Amino acid sequence: MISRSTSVWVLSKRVKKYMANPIILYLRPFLQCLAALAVFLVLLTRPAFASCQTEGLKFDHAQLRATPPNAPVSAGYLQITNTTGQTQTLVSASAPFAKRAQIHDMKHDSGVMKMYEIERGLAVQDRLTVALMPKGRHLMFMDLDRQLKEDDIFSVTLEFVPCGRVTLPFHVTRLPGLVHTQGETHTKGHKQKDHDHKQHDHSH
Amino acid sequence: MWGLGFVLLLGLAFSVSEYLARQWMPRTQTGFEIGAPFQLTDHTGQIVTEEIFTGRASAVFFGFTHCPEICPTTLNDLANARQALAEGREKLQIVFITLDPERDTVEVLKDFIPYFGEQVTGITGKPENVLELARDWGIFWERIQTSGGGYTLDHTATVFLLNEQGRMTGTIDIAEPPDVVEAKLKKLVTRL
Repeated sequence: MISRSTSVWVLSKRVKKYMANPIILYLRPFLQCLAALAVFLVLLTRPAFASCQTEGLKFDHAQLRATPPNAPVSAGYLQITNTTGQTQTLVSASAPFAKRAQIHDMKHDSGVMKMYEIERGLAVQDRLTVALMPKGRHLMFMDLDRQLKEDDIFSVTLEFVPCGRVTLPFHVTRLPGLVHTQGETHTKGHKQKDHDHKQHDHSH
Repeated sequence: MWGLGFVLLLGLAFSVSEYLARQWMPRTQTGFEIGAPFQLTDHTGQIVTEEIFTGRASAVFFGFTHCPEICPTTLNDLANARQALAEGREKLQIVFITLDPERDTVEVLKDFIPYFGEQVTGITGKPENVLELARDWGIFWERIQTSGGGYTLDHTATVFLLNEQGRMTGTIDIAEPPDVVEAKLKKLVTRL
């Protein structure tokens, strides 16, 4: 401990000596500015570099279920694709409109729907996509303080182990999901658009 | 002697006429009897009895409003499938019966039910009476404590399809895709 502090003292003395060099002295304000800029840049870019997305987590179709007025609960859905090179476990979620959030799974057993909390978190293995979809795994938001209306967008924070926290926009919709009707209408819609586009091209 | 013959003849004629009637008369009674008489409250605060199931077809679902997933999904799916019917839409109603009458009061259902469209009725009432109705329908439910101190319900998620006489003619399973749901509702209303 003592030796270390001495060495630091010696070093600082050396640096002082070095800084006494006229050229360095002349450049000091410039260097200070440069150092400040470097620190600023590091601070600015570091969170982005450390974010789960750049590490290889991808999120798609993040949606929230629109609720009736005064509804106590809602559900959130999304697709998580993991290419981080290791298993990422979704351990918690939080949103500004709900007091509590849990990660739930459901089991359909001879006509009975059973819902339960995934207490150890939802593990997404490397190179896999896990979908939270209607009639299956979902985020359950409890004690809502407002009605979630269609087309509203809310930031929801997800915490992954080990990569950390991610905040991303969730879109409120009445018919969440891509499976079944929603997916069908979507594809139909796209086909229709393509068709229209082609017709448009023909007319030219 | 003549008297006995007359009685026998009368009996035979009655049997034959009964047989012919059963053969030729259209079958008016299809489906199975389900449930039992009840008197509860609907989401507007009006008294509702088993008569709600007669006069038009019904899709009946048991659930609760603290249900984040399967209850709103099912109600949305039913409402959409009903809306997609080319004709006979008005002959079909959706009935939601709560399995959580303590939390799902008339006030709660008043906000919840109209959100899922027209012709949707919510049923609640005194907890013991509501749960008796659920038992009469053979519904399973169980309270599950959640980590935050609240509770949720595991419950039968089958949709019961009733004809206009209130007799059950089929069910919809939660895993069935929307086109199947739509086809079943279509069949239900075109049979009327």
